[in-house]
Amino acid sequence: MESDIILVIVVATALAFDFTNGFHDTANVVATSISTRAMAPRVAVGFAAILNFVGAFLSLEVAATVASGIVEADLVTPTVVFAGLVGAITWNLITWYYGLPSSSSHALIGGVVGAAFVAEGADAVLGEGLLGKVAVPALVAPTLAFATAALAILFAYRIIGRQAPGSVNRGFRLGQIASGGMLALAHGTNDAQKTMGVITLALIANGTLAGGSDPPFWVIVSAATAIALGTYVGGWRIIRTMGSRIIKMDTAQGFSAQGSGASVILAASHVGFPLSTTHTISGAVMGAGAAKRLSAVRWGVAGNIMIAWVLTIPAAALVGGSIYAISAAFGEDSAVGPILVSLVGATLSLWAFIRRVRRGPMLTGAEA
Amino acid sequence: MRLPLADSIVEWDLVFQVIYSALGAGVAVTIAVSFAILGAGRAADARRDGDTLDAIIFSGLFVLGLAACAAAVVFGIVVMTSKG
Repeated sequence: MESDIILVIVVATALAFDFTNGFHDTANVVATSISTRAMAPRVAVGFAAILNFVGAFLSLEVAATVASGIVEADLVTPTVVFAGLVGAITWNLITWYYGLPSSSSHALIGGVVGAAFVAEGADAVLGEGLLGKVAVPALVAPTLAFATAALAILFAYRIIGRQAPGSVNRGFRLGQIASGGMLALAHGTNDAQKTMGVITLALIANGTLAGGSDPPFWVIVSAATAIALGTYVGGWRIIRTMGSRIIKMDTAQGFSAQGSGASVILAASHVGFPLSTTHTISGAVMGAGAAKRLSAVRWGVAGNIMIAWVLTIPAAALVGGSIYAISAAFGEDSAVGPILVSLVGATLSLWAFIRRVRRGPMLTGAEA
Repeated sequence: MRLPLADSIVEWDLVFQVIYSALGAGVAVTIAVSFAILGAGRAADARRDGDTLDAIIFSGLFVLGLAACAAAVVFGIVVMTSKG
């Protein structure tokens, strides 16, 4: 009975994480399109939401293991996963509040690492995995995207240099619709599947599913729906940062950033070295701005974003570890701790939602 | 010089493969779209000026650019559906 309650809480928390993942990462897909007026804000988030939903069904390969190769798999219990998810959700909400794009996947890894550390000590965390699977890609993604977008925009300016602005803008805006669509599909394929993996593992750990089972259809549909709904709600604060606070972009820069970003993500995925969508697109936006003029990039904003990236793993780990300690205080297998934490979290979310609704919309199309 | 420890943790071959394939793909896609835009714009200008040969050449450039973009989109979807 207790394990069934924990299972239900883990499933609900995983879907809540999936929702925050969607709205936190909407900016990656739509910010440049909204900024260059390739699409109206609501149309852009609707388009991204639909393609995120479709993307979740595109591949049957589920990223089944949470923080695989980074923490000892045998030590990951449902309570550790629950605490890790809460750590990731908390960090996603904090960075959203400050309008800072950060990696939801890194937040989840950080949360699970922190919870596993508190549960089993330092031996539970695989340092080599953290370096090879988190730190190196976190350095490669923005640097590579920066260089790619910078080179791309130089070529673009060179080629379309003397063309009439009208046809150039129309062309790059159409290109942005295609590249934004690819990004949204890729996001649904990668990120919704993480949630499917978490839920499937919890079902297997609880004995509800046999080991090695594929995710049931309801898991696929609910994960796809949660990420699509989150995307549609839209993390407007991050959209504003990514779309207009790092650089004021023209349509060529918007396409170079988004097109290069999509190409980097898919090329990396093709060779089996997945990179964070957030790190990639942020780096590409900075590169597209810096290649035109170094001072075009607001380096203060860029610096804040990089600080958030560095803090993601330790901050999510701190929350994940604390939540695990609170939950396990009632017993590792007890449902009381997760229930209390969930109730507090749900109450806080409801309070924030009501406040948010009373204050009206965050951003209009003109402000984007 | 590489550190032996780093060699055992980081798959450098994969990193370098990512760097050149991503760099190549990103720049190629932007160049393809830019040429498609250039081709469309210059073909329209040529048609307006009654320059049939230029109109054909730039229309061809437009089609080539567009075809390269379409190929990139298809390749991207194949990558997504076949990842594993």
